Amino acid sequence: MGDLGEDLERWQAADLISREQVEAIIGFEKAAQPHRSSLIAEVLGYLGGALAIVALWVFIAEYWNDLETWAQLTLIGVLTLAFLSAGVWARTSPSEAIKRLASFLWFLAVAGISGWFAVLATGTLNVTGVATSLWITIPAFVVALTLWLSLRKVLQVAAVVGAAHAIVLSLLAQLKPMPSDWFGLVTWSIGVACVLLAWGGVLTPRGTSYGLGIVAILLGPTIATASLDQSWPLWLGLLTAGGLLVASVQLREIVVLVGGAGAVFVFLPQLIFTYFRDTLGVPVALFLSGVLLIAVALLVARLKREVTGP
Amino acid sequence: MKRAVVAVSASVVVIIAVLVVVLVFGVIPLPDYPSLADHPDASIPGSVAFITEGDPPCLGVVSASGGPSTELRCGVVEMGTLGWTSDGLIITIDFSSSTPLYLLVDPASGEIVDTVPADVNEPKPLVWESQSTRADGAVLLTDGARGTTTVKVRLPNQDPVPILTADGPHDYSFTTATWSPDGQWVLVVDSEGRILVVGENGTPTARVLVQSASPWMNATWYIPGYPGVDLGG
Repeated sequence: MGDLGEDLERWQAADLISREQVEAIIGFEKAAQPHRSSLIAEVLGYLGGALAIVALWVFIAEYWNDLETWAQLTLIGVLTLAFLSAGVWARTSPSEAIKRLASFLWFLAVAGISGWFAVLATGTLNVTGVATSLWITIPAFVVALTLWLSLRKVLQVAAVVGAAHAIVLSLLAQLKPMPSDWFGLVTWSIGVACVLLAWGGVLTPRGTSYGLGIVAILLGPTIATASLDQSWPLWLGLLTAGGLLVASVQLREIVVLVGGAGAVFVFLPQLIFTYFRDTLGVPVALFLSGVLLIAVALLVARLKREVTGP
Repeated sequence: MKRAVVAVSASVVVIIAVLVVVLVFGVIPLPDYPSLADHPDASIPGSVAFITEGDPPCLGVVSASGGPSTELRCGVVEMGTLGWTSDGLIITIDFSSSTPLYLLVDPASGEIVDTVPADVNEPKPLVWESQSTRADGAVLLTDGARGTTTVKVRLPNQDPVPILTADGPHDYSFTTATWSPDGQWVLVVDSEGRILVVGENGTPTARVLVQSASPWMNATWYIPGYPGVDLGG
């Protein structure tokens, strides 16, 4: 209660609120905060769970190739069903910590579904090459979408967005010749779609969805620039960054502001180096990048005041 | 609700627009060549040995004039180690034993008719230098820059002259080019693993001899009466 307590004392001293109101606010906030001991227990629980999963993974990996395909399918299937069932039980718990566990378990279930279909496709149906990716990504997306519709948590939306990327890229990978050089542009478009859907309230939690979209917007043009060996994706990235900065003020969304600023910091120096490294030399290009980034930083600081508001 | 509809519509438009761009500009068809397998050309002499892509890779042979190819052996062929002896046996290297061995393979039966110990550390290269330079000094060069790939012939003291040019996806290229033993033909392997045959000056134009060779393993040509690789054993 450190800062709030001090503020309340000041407000009471200024006769803005009464002693009773101060005590009522402190009592309310204490009740709303989770106990530190339960948080520590939750963190230790996840740590222990993660170690157990890693140990199980190492154990299985050692004997994996010796197992028949049916045994592999049974093992992954049982684990996946266990994750799904435990998640169903956990999400109805009154405890927030247990509900968060449900989110984690269902995230693992999506990974389990992907693994199960990978073994089914390669081990039983003898699917080879890029067609295998469709056998993995389509079920993963369907399950991730279903689980997200039931539980709109951070890990569920991350699974949906990740599976959406995988399914679109898998579909494009079926083309011959595979347009893999353009995958970065596709990643960018899915990122933009994520941001739009988060803005529309379709993709939730909103903050996480903005974050996932912005990561794709940052990565996509960078990947496209490298794979296509052209600079126009950097301009696309910078243009998107500008759009995010403008939108952040309109939406008063700090995540979008940070994403837009991050995008400027990623794309602007790359553009300056692309166009001026040979003519001006590295030191001047570096100096120019620094000056422009300082200007952007000042602009972002001003925008932050607009976003956070009075 | 209205905002959600706008968001979904805008998302669909963005993704579809990008997919259209990718389909229009990103899926560039591979260059197509007539097939010697379907339409053999009796004027092309000799036989071509090659290595197929796969696990394990296999040694194959085909008449240079075209027609179906024959798979000879699998699993004992290594990258960059393929040649012919003067008397028409295919040479490859077996690295599976402690001492690498040159295997001399009968192109008719696929049987190993002889073995020659190879140098343990650096087995002699069988193909590259000798078959990219013709007796008159003409050198074959492969070149490629974003979507256009070329095979050129450079005669001594002259500028290179292109004999084969193709447009395709930016990662499409001609990976190797070697002379036929008589110097009248050029054997070209492309990044799709197709073995092409083209005349020494570009005419007749390129035709596909084999569809599924390994793009990064060599193919090599034999014409009776022309010298082959001397293993010195």
